[in-house]
Amino acid sequence: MNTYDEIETLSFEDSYDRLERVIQRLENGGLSLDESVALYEEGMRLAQHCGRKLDDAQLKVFRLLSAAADEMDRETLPEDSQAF
Amino acid sequence: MNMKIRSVTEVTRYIKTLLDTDEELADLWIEGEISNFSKASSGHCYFTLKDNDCELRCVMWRGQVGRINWQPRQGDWVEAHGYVSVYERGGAYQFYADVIERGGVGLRWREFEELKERLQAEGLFDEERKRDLPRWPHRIGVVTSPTGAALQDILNVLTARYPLVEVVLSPSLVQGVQAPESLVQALERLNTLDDIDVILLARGGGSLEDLWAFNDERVARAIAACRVPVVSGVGHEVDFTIADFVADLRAPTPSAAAAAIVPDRQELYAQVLALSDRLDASAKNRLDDLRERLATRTRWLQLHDPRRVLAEQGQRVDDLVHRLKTVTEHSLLLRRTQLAAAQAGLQAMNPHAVLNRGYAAIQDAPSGRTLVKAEQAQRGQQVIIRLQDGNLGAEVTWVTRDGS
Repeated sequence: MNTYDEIETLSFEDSYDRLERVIQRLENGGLSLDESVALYEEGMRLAQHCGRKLDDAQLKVFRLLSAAADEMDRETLPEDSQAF
Repeated sequence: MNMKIRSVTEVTRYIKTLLDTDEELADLWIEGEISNFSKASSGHCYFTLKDNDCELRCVMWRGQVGRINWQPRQGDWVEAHGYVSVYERGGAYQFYADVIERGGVGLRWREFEELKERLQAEGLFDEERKRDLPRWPHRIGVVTSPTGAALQDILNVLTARYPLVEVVLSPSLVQGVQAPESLVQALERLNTLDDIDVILLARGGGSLEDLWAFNDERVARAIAACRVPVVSGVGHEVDFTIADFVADLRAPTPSAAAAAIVPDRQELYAQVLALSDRLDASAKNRLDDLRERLATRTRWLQLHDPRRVLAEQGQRVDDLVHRLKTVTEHSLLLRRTQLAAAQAGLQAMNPHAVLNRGYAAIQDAPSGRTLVKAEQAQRGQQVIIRLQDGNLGAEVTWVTRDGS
């Protein structure tokens, strides 16, 4: 079982995949009342987390600076950059 | 032809059919010098292509004219693509052009076809080579001009659909002589990074010459050498370059390429909602199931409640007791009746009642024994005569017996 904090650190896709697994376990049945309730709560938190991830996402754009193939410096470009 | 008399139309149509059904004339490139290029008010262009010996009348329809982005002038050496047919009304055969390129492109076109065949034979275009795109892209490497509209289109699409992704721009020239080498370097730089999971190669729309860098063999091999899948979005819908054939996925435009790489946020919202609904339904089903099982057991317990069993049995006992009482009362009644009858009978046999009627009881005085038979008496015996209200003392003077 995952704590509330652990769900917060999940990426969108990990959260989404885990939500699918939670639902499958519930649907397979055979769980005690405590287990069912705990899973349901975990599922609701995962769904909320997915929604937040979609809402809060901001596109990050980096630009490779150097001409040399082995340098990986990047600069971050703000969204409204006029560099384009 | 036999010596029949034909109409002008018949002959013209005959010639037209001959030309229209000829394979060579249906799809060809012609090079020549432009002469008398004019644009009619309809928008259609009429010109002549000529070389040292011959001339050819040409037409370009208005719709195709829009695709030329340069102005053909008198004396220009060009290469044109199209087909030959007959303009019946004017009694002329004409070349109907859909593309006019500045001279030299025809050669390039041949080279293009050769390269395409060669790379195809090497298997670079094979379906089996093409890799699937990642389901959840994290970082997209974009190779395009930093100043072009293509990049802006791509960023707009990504921001709208899936801003969770990160973009790494590897800038490059996208047209001109130095473009192929620039594209190769841009791709190779992305290939050295290990956190890119898909590459988008993009360039906005343009003429065949503008897009020519994407037909370069070096670019094709650089694409094939990429460790991650490459999606090409070059030019307009109808343009197909060598890069498009080598790429793991070809998209008609840069925007379409971006859309093909990432999931759509709206769809993801809908899917998360659908999963939430399933979660609710599953939990509800589970609870209903548990409730039902509890109810079944509760009912069983209620049916088998010991107190209830006792109550039932108590009732049965009461019932039996009641029946017992009833039976007993009947029985007693019977006995009492019988007793009363017996008492009455007994009463009738009461010796005092006999005495009341005048009979006397004779008792032997010493023993008190009642004399019932004559043989029990003898002369001189002292006897007591009991009457109903008193006794007499007497002595037996004589005894007789009946029958003697």
